[in-house]
Parts: sequence; C-alpha cells; structure tokens
Amino acid sequence: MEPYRTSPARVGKMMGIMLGICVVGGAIFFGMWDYWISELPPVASSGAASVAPSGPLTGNTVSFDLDFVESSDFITLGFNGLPDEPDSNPTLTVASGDEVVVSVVNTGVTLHAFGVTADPDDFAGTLWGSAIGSASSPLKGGESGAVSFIAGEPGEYYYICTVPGHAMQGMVGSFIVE
Amino acid sequence: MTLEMAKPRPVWQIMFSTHHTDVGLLYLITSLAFLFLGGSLALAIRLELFLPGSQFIADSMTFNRIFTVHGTTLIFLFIIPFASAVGNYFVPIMVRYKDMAYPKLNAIAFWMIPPAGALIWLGFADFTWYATPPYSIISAPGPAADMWIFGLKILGVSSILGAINFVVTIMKCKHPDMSIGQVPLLAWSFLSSSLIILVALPTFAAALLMLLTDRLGVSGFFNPAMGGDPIAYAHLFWFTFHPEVYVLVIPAIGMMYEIIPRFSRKPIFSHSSGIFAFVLLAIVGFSSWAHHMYATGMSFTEKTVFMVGTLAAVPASAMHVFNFLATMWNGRIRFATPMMWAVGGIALFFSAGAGGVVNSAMPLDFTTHDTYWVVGHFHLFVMGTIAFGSIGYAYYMFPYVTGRMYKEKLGYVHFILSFVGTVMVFFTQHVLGLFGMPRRIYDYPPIPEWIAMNQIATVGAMLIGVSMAIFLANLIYSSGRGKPADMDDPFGVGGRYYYPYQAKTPHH
Repeated sequence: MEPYRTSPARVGKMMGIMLGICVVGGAIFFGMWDYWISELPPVASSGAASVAPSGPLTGNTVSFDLDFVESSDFITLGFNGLPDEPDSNPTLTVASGDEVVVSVVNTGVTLHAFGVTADPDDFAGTLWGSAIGSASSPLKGGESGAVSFIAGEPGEYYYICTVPGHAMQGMVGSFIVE
Repeated sequence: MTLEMAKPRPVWQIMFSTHHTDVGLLYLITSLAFLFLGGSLALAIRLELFLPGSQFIADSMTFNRIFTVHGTTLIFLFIIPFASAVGNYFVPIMVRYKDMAYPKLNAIAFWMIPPAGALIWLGFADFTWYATPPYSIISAPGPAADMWIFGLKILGVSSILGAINFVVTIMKCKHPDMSIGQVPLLAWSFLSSSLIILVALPTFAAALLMLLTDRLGVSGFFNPAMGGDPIAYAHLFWFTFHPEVYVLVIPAIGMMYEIIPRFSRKPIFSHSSGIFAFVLLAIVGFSSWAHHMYATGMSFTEKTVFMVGTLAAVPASAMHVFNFLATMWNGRIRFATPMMWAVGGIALFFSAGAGGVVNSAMPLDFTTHDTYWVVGHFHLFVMGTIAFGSIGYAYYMFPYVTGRMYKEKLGYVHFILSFVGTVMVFFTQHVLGLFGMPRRIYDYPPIPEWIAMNQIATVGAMLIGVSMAIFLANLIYSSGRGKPADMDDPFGVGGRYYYPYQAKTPHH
C-alpha cells in the first residue's frame, strides 16, 4: 500500500490556521496592551491608606527632618541616631488637620523607606499618603525624599522604615496626633 | 497528515481524534509553533543586551515580561509537549499496543495546552518563571499574573494526566510476551520521567494555589507582611522543579538512545545500564532541590546533604554518556542530520554537566549564584542537550509524519549554525557570570568585558535565530514538496525501526 504523503495544499492549510491564530492572538494582546497589567493584586490594596483627615483642616504646617542611620554592622538602625543614642527616634507631635511635611535623608548604605502606620509591624499599612518610597521601591543610600500629608484622627501612631524588618531593628518612633 | 491513514482526512477529524498518532501530531505542531514563538523572544532579549542602556525595549518591566514568557513558553509549551509528541507516536508502538491506555484522557491532556498557552501569552506576566514571591504576591500586576498562575495550573494537570497515561500504557498495556526489561529505552525514558512527574508536580500545584490565595489577600503563606515566608515557596518550587529538569532531560536522552544505535548501525551497548541509569536519575533527582537555595541561609549540614545529593546524579548521567560513546565505538556511523544533533547534544550535555558540578559545590556556588553563569548553565542543558536531542528527533520522525524527506543540506546548515551559536551564547555567559554580571537585568554598566561578552552572546543568538529560520523553512517546504521518502528505511541505514505509520488503524 502506497502511504499517504502530505500535499502542499495541506501544508498551506495548516500554515494558514497557525498564522491565523497568531494574528488573532496578537491583535487581542496588542490591542489590550495596557489592560493586562492594569490591576494591582488585591492584597496590595487590603491595607489601604485612608487619605482624608477626619476633622477640619487647621491651616498649620509642621516640618520634620529625619535621617536614616545605620550601625556599622547593620544590626541596629534608627532615625537621627542609633537607638541607644539620646536624640534617636524623636517623638513627633502634630495636631489633627495639620499639614505635615517630612523630609528624609538616607545617610546609610542600604535601602530605606518612610511611612506613618497605626502598628509598628504593619509596614504595608501606611496612613494618610505619608509614604516616601516603599519596600519595593525604597530610597538607596545617599538619596533623600519628602512628603506632605494631612494628619488624620487623633491618636498614637508610629513612623517607621517600611522596609520589612527595619522597624524591628529600631527604625520606629512615636507619631502623636492631638 | 499522519500516515496510518490511506487517504487524507478533513483537518477537524485529526483535531478531534483520540488516536495516539493524531494526538501526537497535534502535540508536535503545537510544540514546534511555541519553539519559534519563544525563540523569537530570546532574540529580543539578546538584542536588548547588545549594548548597555535601553535599546528598543521601553522599560525594565517589559523586559521582565519578555524573559518570563520566554522561559515559561520554552519549558512548558515546547520541551514538555514535544516529548509528549514523541511519546504519543512511539510508546504504544514500542510496547505493541493499539493506542495509549486512555485515548480520551490523552486528547484531554493535549487540549489543555492551547488554553494554557493563550493565558500565558495574552497576559505576559512579569515575575520570572519562578514567580518570585513576595513580588509576585504584593506587586505583580494582574490580570497577567493571575492568568500565568492559571495557565501553569492547567499545564500541571495536563502533565499529570499525560504521565498517568504513559505509566499505565507501559506497565499494564505492553504486550504479554514482552518483559519490562525488554521495553525499548525510549519508552523507559517516558516511564521514568512520568513517575517523576507524578511524585514531584503536586507540590508545585499546591504552591500555585497558595500563591493565588496570597495574591487575593486571604492567606499569607509567602507574604512577609502577614507572617509568611518566601523561602517556603522556594522549597516548594524547587522540590518540583529540580526533579522537573530530569523530566525534561530524560526523554531527550531516550530520543538519543533511539537515534544513536540506528545511525551507528549497532545495537545499543548496554540496554540494562540505560534502564538502571534512568531509574537512578529518577530517584536521586529528588535529593538535590535545595542546591538552588544555598544562599538563603541554610546550615552547613543541610548544604552538605544537598551537595552530595546533587553529585549523586553524576554517575547516572555519565552512564548514559558512556553508553552513547560505547555504542558509537566501531560502528559504521552515518552522520545524517539526526545523528549530528544527537552527537552535538552529547558534547554539550557533558559540558553542561561539568558546569553543574561546579554549581553544586557550595563554596563555588556562592560565586556563581544569581549571575549569568546560572543562565549559561541552565541554557546549556535545555538548549544544548534537550533541544538538541528533540530537534534531532524531529528530523528523525519527519519522514514518518509527512511521508517526505527534509532537505539534508539545510539540516546540516541548521545544525552547524546552532552548534556554533549555542557555544558562543552559553559558554560566554558562564564567563560573564564569573565577571559578576547578575542575571535578569535589563541594563548594565558599561564595563568593557561585559559589553564584549554580551556582544559575543548576541551574535551567537543571531546565528541560532538564522538557523531556526532555516529549520522552519525546511519544515514547511519539505512537508509539502520534499522528495517522497522510502518508508521502510528513509535514512538508508537498515535495521529494525519502529514505524509510526504502521500504528494500528483506529476505529472512528
């Protein structure tokens, strides 16, 4: 029995099918180029920041300057000084409705980022849009940054380095809203 | 298009057939299509790295998306489906059964691949084929990332169904006159790789679900903000994917076991040592996963255990190489295209294995970890060994599938360009890694040595690109207008073949 051999027409048909799939798929992909990466994962927005203050604005502006400081062995970290030094991690006190301007300088060599949170361990839950950088896009050594935000409801909060682990190593201070 | 039919059938009859050669043909065409698609992404990566700075890719995220889909495509949509194609064509014939054990399951396993491929290619996720947590959980944008997770989930189920089918076909459906030791080595390679899949893959399937629920925020297995541990993901991932590299390489070795005796015109040197080495590889493959993770702060004892476990794969691999060489020794070798690919594959398998010994030695691993050395080592395996064996086998089964011969001269040119290109790209990348270039970067500082080596690698990649274009042209032209093949002995080397066109005619 003479075996059946592929004919040019059959090959052409197959190539037509495959090119058709590529053209249709390519049109869908490139036509919706921005859609495919348009959403952040739900977990990123679960600790969502509350941006609006609860009370009326006071019209006052309060400014703070903070430096990220590292010990030479990177075991202890702090703001403006290492935890055992007198001027480290100063307590920042503002009134609800104040505009707070924070300027930070990373005087160390590793990566740092800033944020005000309700819980010193919750580095994803930055409040009031107070973040400078984040764990995934932190400030490199020598870089600086600034943020201005409106302090919200009165209470006792924390300002921390939002790079995971750094708050535990000492980069945490009290942020009081009166 | 398949040969067991006396006359052509409508395309839809082949597409919705459950016969093993029809499903094999679908696997074959799909995997080759993804080979060319994934390979073109590799060329884009190499062109971008030709010079420091941004060349034509707009930003680092696009670059990440390209190399993520490049890796995912070539591993899951080329290598694995190509092996399934070969297995579908040859395993039932080798064990003398009329079809796969579960024909419908076989067709279902194939039909999971196109939707999974569509999910991966439409989304174009950006978190590397490893889906690096915590990035993949807290920052990787959707729906691309979720589509990738679902795509891989579907491919995992498809692999498991295929593996069940191969194991049952070989163990339970082989001819009663045939003992398990007489089953040909190609079929043995499918048996051992399928057993690895059945043991290894469920772990990654679980890890994928955990990744998805972590992304949704309902769990925090790998999310440090919720007390999870990304290193746990590394363990789960590598527990599947270190054995998985043996899943990829074992069928390629099986294909070489079919090609090399045929073109050496000698029986295989030692059938039983080949079986032994397959089984040994399948077992020791599970003792080495954490050698990917030396740099994560493991204790000295753990590192030692995994170092020894990794080195245990060396004797098994060496047995295969020895078997190949002893088979070729004193044979009347005919260097047709499939044989050239198989022999080139042996040479590069040996080189890649030598690099692997360096990686597994833990002090040296810290020098090479996350550098281009790793990229070079891995690619020397998947391209130099697995793709070489697979492409050689594609040439070998071409006359059986189409009834026509490919152009031998174009096959030679394809091999020579690919071999030179592979050496240029991946040997250079080893050295580049020792010069400190990290992997997965989109831009690099203008260090003269880095620029020079990246340019050598890019030129090599272009050679491979040209050779693959020749391959594609050869495939298309020869399947329509190639010289009619002598179906009893297309390569003129004599001997007893397994003729796929003699497969039992199915009832439709």
